[in-house]
Amino acid sequence: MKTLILIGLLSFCSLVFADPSLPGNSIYQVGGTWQTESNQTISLESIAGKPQVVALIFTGCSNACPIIVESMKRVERQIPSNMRNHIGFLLVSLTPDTDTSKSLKVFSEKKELNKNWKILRGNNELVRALSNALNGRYKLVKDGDVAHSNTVTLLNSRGQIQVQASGTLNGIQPIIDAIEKIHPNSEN
Amino acid sequence: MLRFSLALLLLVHNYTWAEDNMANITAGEYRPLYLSVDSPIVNVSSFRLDKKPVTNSEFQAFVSQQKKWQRDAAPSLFAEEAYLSHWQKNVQQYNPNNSDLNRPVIYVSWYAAQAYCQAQKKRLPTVAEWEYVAQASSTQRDGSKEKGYNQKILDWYAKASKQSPGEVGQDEPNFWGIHNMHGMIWEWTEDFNSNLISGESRDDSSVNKELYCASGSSGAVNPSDYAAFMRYGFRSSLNAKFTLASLGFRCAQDGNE
Repeated sequence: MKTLILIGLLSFCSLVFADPSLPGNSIYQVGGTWQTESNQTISLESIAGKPQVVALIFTGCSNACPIIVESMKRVERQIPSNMRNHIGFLLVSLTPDTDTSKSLKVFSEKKELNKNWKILRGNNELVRALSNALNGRYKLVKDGDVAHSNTVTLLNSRGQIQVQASGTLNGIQPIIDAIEKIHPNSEN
Repeated sequence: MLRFSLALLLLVHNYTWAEDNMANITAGEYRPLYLSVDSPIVNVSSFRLDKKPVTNSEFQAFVSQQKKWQRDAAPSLFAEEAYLSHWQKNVQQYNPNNSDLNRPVIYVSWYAAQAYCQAQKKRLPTVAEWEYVAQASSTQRDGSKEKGYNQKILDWYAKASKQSPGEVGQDEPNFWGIHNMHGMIWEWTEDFNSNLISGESRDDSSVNKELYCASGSSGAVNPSDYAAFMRYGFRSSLNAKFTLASLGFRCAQDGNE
């Protein structure tokens, strides 16, 4: 019983405080609670543990976003097979007001994203903070459109930026090169 | 009974005092300078804005509540080395100098400013909101057409910040009752880096084209307002973790509609 209480207390604490072992420049320091496309509520810190390929996207857009997702899928196809399940793919919605968990789910199915992918929605303050942490820029413009940078970022397992590249089919190459250098059981 | 009335009086007093720290800004239109003449006007909804920039004293109260934001505790993701570097170490923690208490807090990053405003149940103003209020003179909502208005602001920009800022609220308030929009410090805004999207987003063709036009001043709405151009240029040069000697902030809140 005592152990149970202790475990309960410990898990409560981990919800309230960001993981103290996270490095100061980890983008997971942004913290907060986020919803996934499967309608789960998760903390940003919980993404830590394996390298992630990250991009901020606007699911309603017809220009840059499909290219971003396609270029990330190119990364996935080129990953050495022994690394396949050791790299995560993270998409973050730039328009959490209009993207419900359900519409993210629809997007995920339409793009045929597998279990290594996650789509997150947070509140506008969190999204702005995360975008800034990733050196991104975006602006909501008329007719519900979003102008945004199409950067794709490779994070190490602790959320530190490793490489940033342009989210186009050719521009993404530096991320593929960097992943090929990661050893499946290494700290990164 | 007397004690009760006193307490009540104090409560009422505190309440009005808190209310008085912000001004109500009525809704209006605002045409961003960096867009071309045919670009859409931005509607600014009614909102509330701090009358004065946040002071060292107010920021000190915040960091004593949220230790994470103390000078030596803020994660490097959120603030550069210079964060609160004008504060002095005093036994256990860093504090502002007494002479700085009523001066605007500077050497704060965007993240720190955002966290401060959230702790007050407020938020940072958007660029549009800030500029909408900043175009007021002491007598008019839109002072930009008043003779000498722009020159006054430009004179301040030209002086550069050779001396540290004075105490907040000592200047003549503008039309909205807001102090220190010009002539004291630069201020963080919520979407400070969203107004000029650079070449990295060239796939967003339609939007980028508009912004490309904006890179010259010829198509702009009011080319004479060079001061506003300087603010846009300055903002887009910032990174959210920057902490600068001339950069502070104030908070905003949605209107009561």
